[in-house]
Amino acid sequence: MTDQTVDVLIIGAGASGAAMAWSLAETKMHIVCLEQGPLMNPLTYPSASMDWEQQAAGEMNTNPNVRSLPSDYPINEDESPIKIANFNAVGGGTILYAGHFPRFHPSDFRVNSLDGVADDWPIDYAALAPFYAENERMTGVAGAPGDPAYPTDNATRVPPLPLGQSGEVLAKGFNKLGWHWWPSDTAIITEEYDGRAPCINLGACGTGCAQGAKGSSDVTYWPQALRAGVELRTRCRVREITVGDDGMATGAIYYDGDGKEQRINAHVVIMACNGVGTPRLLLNSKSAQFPDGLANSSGLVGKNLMFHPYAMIQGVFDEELDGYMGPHKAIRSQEFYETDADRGFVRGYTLEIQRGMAPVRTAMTGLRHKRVRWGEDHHDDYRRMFKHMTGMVAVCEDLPEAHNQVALDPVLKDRDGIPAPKISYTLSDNSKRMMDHAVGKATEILKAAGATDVISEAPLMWGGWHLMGTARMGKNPETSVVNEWGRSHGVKNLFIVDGSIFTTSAGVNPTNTIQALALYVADQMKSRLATLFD
Amino acid sequence: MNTQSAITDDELQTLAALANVIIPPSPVYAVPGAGDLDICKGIAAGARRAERLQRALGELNALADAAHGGLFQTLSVSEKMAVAEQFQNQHASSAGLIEALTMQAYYRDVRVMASLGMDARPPFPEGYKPPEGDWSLLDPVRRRAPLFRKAD
Repeated sequence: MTDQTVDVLIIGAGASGAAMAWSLAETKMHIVCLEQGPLMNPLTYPSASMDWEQQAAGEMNTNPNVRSLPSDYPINEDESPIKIANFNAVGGGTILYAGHFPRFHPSDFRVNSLDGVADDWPIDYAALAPFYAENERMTGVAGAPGDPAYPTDNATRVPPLPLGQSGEVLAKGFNKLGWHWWPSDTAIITEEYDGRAPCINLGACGTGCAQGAKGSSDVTYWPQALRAGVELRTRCRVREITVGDDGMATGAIYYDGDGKEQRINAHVVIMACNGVGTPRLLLNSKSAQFPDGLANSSGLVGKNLMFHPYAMIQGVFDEELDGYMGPHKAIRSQEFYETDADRGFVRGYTLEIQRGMAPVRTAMTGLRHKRVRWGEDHHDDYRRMFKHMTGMVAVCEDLPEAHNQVALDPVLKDRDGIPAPKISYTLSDNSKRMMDHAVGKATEILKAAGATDVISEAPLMWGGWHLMGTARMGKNPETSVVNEWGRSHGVKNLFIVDGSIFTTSAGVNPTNTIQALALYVADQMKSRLATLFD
Repeated sequence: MNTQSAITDDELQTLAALANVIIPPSPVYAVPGAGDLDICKGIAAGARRAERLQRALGELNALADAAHGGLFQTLSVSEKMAVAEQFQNQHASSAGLIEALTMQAYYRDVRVMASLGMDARPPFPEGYKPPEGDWSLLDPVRRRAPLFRKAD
């Protein structure tokens, strides 16, 4: 075991860890980031191979239990109808994400005040707005200004992704109904940006972008953070955060790529391991001073897990559409985003249009919904769907409930013998009503657009992309884990910057907010360096 | 792309027979069935755990043997169809595995891709060119009043 002392230890090199590392680098402190996965080589991504859809179902699957790579840890998700999606590498989940990059709305930070449910965030939209803008500039975002679903913003955008035939067909459906739609803000560049080449419409965003056009944080923040002197150590899995007699974090014990136990000491520890990995590590960091896990005096570490329950609604059309060509996304609708009591649920959802499907996914969707059969009819069934489908998913706001949680599994362990997480999650009645509403409205849109057949799934079992709420942010130490600038209430040199600090989930993809929050926390730290531990 | 498989020749024949039931050849579309040897080798090679595929084929042959006293590949077309349906009903997980592997191998075959009007190549590095689309469709939305709630 080696022993080294650094100024700042960041655990996790995904979306938030990357943004934090880049922002803190200007302090010239000695910053080390430990990441359990490797640095990916985009040229090896599946889209360069004929069997890319097979790899998407296997070693590049979104679910770690299916993928089961050496960098992955197992997750007991038997007690959850929604399965975890993540990726363990430099870039984290952004390696496989679709790149949807919306901001939260102002109302998302005031859920209790406006709707009487959950809690308000301790910060507001205005506090994050400059960091959203900085994050969008660093990432490269395609889109269009002027969306009436948002306040005027200060975003930097390149032109939107192609509307395509699918987008045109659906836009006509939305317009017929008089409902909102807008080009999606997407972390995929449509023109050269910051030395990166533009999107060439591979249609394989969910398996990593070989072109480098998608703003995964390994190609956005990390190159700059490394040039600025941040030290990144890959294939290093942290077992526990260590603490001193004074109750402050002293560093971490981890296993390196050879499986050797190592210790690193740090003056500041920052956790960026996502909404499952962070509570897992905190709960695994038990000591005499913290018998229930680190930073867990509130008992809320791991509690209030929020996903976004997804509903998927697809239409089959007579005319030929984009099919496999182009990024999955093009436009979104927030017609049903804000609360309307007449709908029978509080809060709302975003409809994200999915352009079309690649050949294998078309077949699997058709088979699952009994539109494609085995035998003589297979070919005709399939050709009715291939390049003739488009549709959408509904990203439904999930509200925090303490019984939805990440705990430690009493038996399951990872390759290094570290206890694995166990997910317990049930869908609320509010979420079920919201998904039913979304399926109904999406069906109306598809029929207005000319669909001859509509299929739907809710919830999407493999849709546990967004992991939030398990170390929530708040001003009251009894009802939250970190304060309004990301510092643990109980351990004053321990910070958390990933999705686990979300107070509520909103009804949009969280990556832009996760990274904006990381930049905001970094800014708070830099402005308080002299009094950081007071 | 891996085309190596750990299954035996007999198992490959069983797999080919089932694959041809799932997707038979079509003279209309000028495409082979999924039991085509090259495609079938791809199906077998796609299994990340060969023992799971072997177990599934064993389950299929056990059903064939119980119903007709022989391996699946020795049955008549109608017998194969009936046993395949039984396989789906009684061993859904195994049938699902073979079904998924079959789709993954079949719909990347160059003959099939050509028949579907696709370029027989991976997406990268050439990419694709979907049409830009008519952005004037956005004009009525641009004219809408703000629809977000103020939070003050």
